[in-house]
Amino acid sequence: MALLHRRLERSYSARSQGPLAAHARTLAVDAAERLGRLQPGNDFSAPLMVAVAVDLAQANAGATARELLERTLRLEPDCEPALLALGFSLERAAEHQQAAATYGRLVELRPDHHEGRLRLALNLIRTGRRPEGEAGLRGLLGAGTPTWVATLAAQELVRLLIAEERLEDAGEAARAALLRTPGDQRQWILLASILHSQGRRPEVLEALRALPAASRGVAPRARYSEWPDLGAAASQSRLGELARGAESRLAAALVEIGR
Amino acid sequence: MTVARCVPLLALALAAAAPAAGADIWVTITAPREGEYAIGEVEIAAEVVARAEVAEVEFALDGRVVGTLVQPPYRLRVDLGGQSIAHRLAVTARDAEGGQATAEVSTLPPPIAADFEVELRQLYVSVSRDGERVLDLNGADFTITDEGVEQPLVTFARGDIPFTAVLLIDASGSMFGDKIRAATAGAATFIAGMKALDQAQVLVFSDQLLVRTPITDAKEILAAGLGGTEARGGTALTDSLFVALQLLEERQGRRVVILLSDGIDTHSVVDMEQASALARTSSALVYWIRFARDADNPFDDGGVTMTSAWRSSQEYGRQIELLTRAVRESGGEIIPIRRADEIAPVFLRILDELRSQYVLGYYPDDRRGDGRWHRVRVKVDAPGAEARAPRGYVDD
Repeated sequence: MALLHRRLERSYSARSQGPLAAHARTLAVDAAERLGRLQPGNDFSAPLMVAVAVDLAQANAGATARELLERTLRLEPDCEPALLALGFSLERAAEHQQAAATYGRLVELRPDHHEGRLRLALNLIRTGRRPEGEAGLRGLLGAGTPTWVATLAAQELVRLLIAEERLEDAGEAARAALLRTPGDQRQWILLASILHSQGRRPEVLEALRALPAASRGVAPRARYSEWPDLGAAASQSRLGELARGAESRLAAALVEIGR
Repeated sequence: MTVARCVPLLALALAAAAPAAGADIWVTITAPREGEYAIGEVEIAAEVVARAEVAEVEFALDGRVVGTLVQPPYRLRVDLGGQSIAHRLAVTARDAEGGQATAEVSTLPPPIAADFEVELRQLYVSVSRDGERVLDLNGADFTITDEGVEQPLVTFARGDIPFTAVLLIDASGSMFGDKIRAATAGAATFIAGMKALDQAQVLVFSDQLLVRTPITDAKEILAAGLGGTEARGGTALTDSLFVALQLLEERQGRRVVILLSDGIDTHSVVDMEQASALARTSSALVYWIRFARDADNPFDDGGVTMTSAWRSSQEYGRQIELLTRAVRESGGEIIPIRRADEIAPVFLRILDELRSQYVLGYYPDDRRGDGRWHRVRVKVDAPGAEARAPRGYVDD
């Protein structure tokens, strides 16, 4: 039933039939939640609820999305996609304290979750817990961290040091980052801004002259502000498979009831 | 061509004239005069007498060629800079038959009583009445106050003063379609209208700096910088403004930034506090052609509702507030637009304004070099006329 209503919801949404879509959504989520309670740990209740929440958040219904993600976590407290999605939704709503707590739970469960660690560090900084945030960022600069996370961690570390007026440290961190990622335009601009604050005018111009050409692909800062990868494609395909199976079983059940 | 029979009479009058060997061409500098005090924007005026047609007249400042004119009047406005130092001005005239003559004058630094260096403060002022430029004012029509104290005017100029402009074009996703096409076409119109001594740089940005031409007067290079621009990605407006202001710091004379953007920065690493502080210390004029992001509620900055993982709506609002203040303090202007077809006329309007500005120079009488912000007011004594000028400067 949950999967059937989820399909109906998407179909109504595509035809801009808002009230029908909302009704189908409610039925889908309620059914998924009920099944989750009856069969804890089943493999589609939480993915379905997270997928619906992400759709809601992307349609600017952030508060409803957060409520649904919290319901998902009550059902499955260790659901990583739900934790990441809730953290992101809170972060976008500038609820940094709660976002940090949510990412903290995620990182506890998955210490190797690099994106979660980055988001945790940044939200700690925004709530004033700068030393913890700084340590978190420094921990992401080494090998083994995805490039976009390491690049962003380095930029944010430099920004933190600038904000704390530790300009010597900031300059050192920027230069070290540029040795690792010489094509990072943002980092060159940060270096120029440090040199400007230090009154080192000729070096400012040198840094700006060294600005590399724009890189292809999504910039790390843009990627950070987009919805994180929740494995949505994989879970959507799994939900599709389940839906097809469920629909044929539902049809058979209806035929049986008809007899 | 100047006819030969005039030569004896004029030659007598032109004490500083420098005839070439063979004496078929003469040139003299009529302003500034030898030993005159000069600083800031000055006009070099030369008179040329030749038997053959005058091919060109070249102007040099301290050994560097700063402009060439091919027809009279041989008058060129140059910027001697704000430092109180001596300068050597040279004018070389060449005729169509290969003859040439050069005249030179030296200017002196204005005498300064204080025991620290005092820089001339130059204000670029636009005056309009009912939306029309007012072009017939004299120095006596202006009053400058610095921290409330009236300042004597030391230099005054009007009209076509060369500039260096950075055209800062937002090519982020929100500029997709007609907007970016109109933006590049508008910038191209501005470039086409530049005069021989004007220079510009094109910076196209999204969440990265996509295009950066050199600062040049070569219009084909600037136009090439605008070609093939596609709008996509986020907006790093503050970073790009920071880069533009830094690059302009190298340049002498009138410096201008023309920013075309909706003003919502999503991906910068430089804080707007730092960029706006840089705008304060720079003497660049900043114009902001501000595209409405939300057609229903176009320029209500109090109502910024956008949030992202990087900034809250309050932080977005604060950014716009700082940018707005930086533009107004610079003496530039925020020009709101709602439609793509408004862009090109706005670029032309800015060009027209730059062509008709007054340059007022004065020595602030209370300079301490303490980094303090000095409030400056310029009033114009002409009925119905309004002056727009920088609102202050950092005393550093």
